[in-house]
Amino acid sequence: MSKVLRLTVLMVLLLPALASAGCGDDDEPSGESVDASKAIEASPEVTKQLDELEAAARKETGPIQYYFILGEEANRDLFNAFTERYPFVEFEVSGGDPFQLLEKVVSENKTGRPVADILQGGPLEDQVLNTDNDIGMAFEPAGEAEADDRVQVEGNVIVSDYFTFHTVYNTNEVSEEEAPTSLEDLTKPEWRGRFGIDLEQIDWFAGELGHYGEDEGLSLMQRLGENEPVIFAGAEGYEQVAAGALPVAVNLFSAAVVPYFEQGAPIAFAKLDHIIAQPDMYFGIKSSDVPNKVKLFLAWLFTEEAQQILSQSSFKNPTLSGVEPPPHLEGVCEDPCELFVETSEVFGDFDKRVEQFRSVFTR
Amino acid sequence: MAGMGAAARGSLRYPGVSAWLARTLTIERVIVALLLLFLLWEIFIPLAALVFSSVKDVRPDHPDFFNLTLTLGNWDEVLSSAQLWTITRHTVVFAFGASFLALAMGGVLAFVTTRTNARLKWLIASLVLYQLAMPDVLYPVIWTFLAGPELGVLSDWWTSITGLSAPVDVYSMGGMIFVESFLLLPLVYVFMVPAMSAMDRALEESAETCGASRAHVIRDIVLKLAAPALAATLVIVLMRAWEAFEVPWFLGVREKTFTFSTELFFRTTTPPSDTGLISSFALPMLVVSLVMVWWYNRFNLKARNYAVLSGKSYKPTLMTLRPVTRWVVSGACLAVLVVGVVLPLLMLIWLSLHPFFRPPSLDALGAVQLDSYERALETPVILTGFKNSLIIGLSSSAVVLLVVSLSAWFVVHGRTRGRRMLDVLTFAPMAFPNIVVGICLLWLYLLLPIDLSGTYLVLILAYFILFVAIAARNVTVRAFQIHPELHEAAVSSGAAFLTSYRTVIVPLMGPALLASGLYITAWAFKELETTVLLASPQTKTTTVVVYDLTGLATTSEVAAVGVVAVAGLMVVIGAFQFVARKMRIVGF
Repeated sequence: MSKVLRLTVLMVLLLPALASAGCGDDDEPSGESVDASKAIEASPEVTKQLDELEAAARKETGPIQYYFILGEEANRDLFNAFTERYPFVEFEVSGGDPFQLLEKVVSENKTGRPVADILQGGPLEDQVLNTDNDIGMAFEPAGEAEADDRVQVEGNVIVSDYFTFHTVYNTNEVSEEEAPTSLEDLTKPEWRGRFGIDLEQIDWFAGELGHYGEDEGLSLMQRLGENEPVIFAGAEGYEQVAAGALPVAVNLFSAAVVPYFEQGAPIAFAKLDHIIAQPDMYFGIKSSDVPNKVKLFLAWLFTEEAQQILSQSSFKNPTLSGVEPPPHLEGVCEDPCELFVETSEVFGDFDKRVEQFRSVFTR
Repeated sequence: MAGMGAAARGSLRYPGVSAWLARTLTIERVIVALLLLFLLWEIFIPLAALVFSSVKDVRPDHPDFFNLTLTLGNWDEVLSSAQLWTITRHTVVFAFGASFLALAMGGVLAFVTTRTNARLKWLIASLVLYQLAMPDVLYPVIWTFLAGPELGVLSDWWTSITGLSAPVDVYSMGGMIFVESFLLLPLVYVFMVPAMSAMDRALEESAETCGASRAHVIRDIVLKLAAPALAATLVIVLMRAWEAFEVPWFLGVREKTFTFSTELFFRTTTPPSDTGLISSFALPMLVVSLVMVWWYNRFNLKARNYAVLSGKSYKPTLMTLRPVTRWVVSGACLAVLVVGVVLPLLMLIWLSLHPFFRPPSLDALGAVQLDSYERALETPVILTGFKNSLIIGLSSSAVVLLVVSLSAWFVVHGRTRGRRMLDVLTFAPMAFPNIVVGICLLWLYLLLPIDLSGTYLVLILAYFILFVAIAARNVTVRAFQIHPELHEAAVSSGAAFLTSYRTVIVPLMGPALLASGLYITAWAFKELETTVLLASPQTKTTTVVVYDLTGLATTSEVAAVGVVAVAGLMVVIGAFQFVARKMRIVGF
């Protein structure tokens, strides 16, 4: 009995060592993956900027007032990681649609009672904050120099990641061979009434017009509109594609569709010749009471740690090379597929785009 | 006190002034003056902003906003829409259809629970009231999974059983009316219950004794006595339906059935808001609301005709149904509520239990998972949202009910000057779009020297504007039913106005006050448009927290958060029901 006991204790003590020795080769890749953030060394400039900003931010009091159209939950892991690294920083998040948040931040600044320190949005916010009202903060994170320059935007805006719009099909309803390979395919009679368009993604519409050129793009959109697409608003369309009620949806949002892949929905990305990318824009507000905390956060977004979270937790495309892309999005747009970036310049006049979108798809 | 002392000393020196003061400064007049002052601050500023903005082509933050350069450009833009008449037709059909259907269902349900001895009345009342907990934004989405042509479970069952196509397509105008009517149902119910519960059965019995059939009794007595309540309910429900956004947005887009609310959304989707255009869209509503006040005034002129709560003859007995009829009536009511309340709630739960939609089946039942609830429950912030909603809901209810109980009494039974203005000011906010209220208060409280932005106080004042019209109509209807002799008797016996108000008027208004309080409190958990603009991270309500939690969430995760929110609000509604039963108020 005592021999059995001794052997058991010995096994318990030796097991971790045996496991690490015996499985060393297998573990190596995952070890590399876990340590990837440390493997890609931050440049001395990035480290220096972060250190300086940290020292200055420590002297500031008060939380970062963060306005974000997707709400607190969408950034929770990002905030948690940042506050773990910099425990003297707190976030207070206000959610709302772009209309409401921009109304708030513009009103606050015009009445001289600014509250927001950071606003996260897209091209629309860029136009309202920077072009129309000049309330964005000028700041250049050192890490920006190492980021994918295809999605970088001029002006008082930080782009550390981007979303993409995808054409997705249900694999039970459509085979890989049958799947559309271009938007032009969906104007054909066999697709009449069998594809859906999300009414809430005007960014995608503006991006397509930018990609094709105004006239050609509008003509294509009109032909799509004439082929009786199923118009839906938001999540309902994602469910319809996942359940097979809608064979194809044209403009699904990358960060919203990846969870359906993760949960095993029978869907796949159609391989098109291009996809529209929308930069995820972070705006520091120049009237901020805590400008160094704001800059510290914006600079930190270009670290390996932040980029990993953006990619693996928020399912956004990172801009720093060497960071693993979000699950299921790797290889979705490989050569010769073109990544077309939709900026506020590409978007053009917002009211005009909304009116065009409506006249093509809702009348 | 010092001021009053000085006035007293002054009046001793000038007996004429003393007599004039005694005649003029009655407590009723002081109260009406205070109410008017408060309402002018609360209602007149947004009202003026609405009217003025509609003739300006710049926003309130522009230096030229306050000059007198006016324009009809916003009006021109509204009227020049190529789709104007189509949109008007859609809106009229949708609003009238949903309102009349809701009025029919809610009126019958209120009658059954308050005036008959039908079975399971508690269950009928509970199901109607629990419908208040359903988020308006999720309800139409749920119906796409119940009665949509592709995913609709009920549609599939119907087709597989009968071989026919489903009778309701939620994307059609009929489907939209059907879905919206169930969202309006609790509002109709909480309006009709106080009115129905005050009706005197003795009048009906007298008619029956004289040989009148039951149909004649209902037509000539019940409906006539209920006329102020029916009219008030129709007005409120109609205006709610006219403004409704969620159902036209989620269900109307497919068939391109746009209404004024969706048109306004498209026209003003680019921020910052086009306040001129929004105001121009709201002004017709304002005109309609003023016409409604004028039209409703006919009941004020004959107020005593509807007074059934008097000191002598009131006898709250029930209509006795035959044993079988009791069950048949209850069964019919419950069938309606199963369709409108229970099935959507079950579908919401079902959606929350699967990562993506699977039609209900035994296989799918075996694959349920609770993953989506992790997101909803792992953060304590939802509890903060509940706490804030409760504070704001109960506080704004208290302020609204104090104001409307006093103003309703003066409007219906008072003789004090200014009561018409009270009526107009408490009803006009019905025409204010929530976004206008939000923007107006955002600016107002940002510009005040004291920084109140983001506080509970601002939200309470905002909710006052949002809900005063509904509560005022509800309580006014009840005021019609109270015979002024009850108050006069108290005053003749030496009671001061406030004593009579506290001990006679408020208890008799009890059912309407409780119903309005319940409605406002429930909406403090659901209102988003204004709250997002005015709340700070510390004062976020449940709906704002839910919005935060569901930014990039899947339908399953949204449904899980929805289930948690509905469950929390049901507890609050249950507490109101408990109070109602303690107070022996029927219909709850």
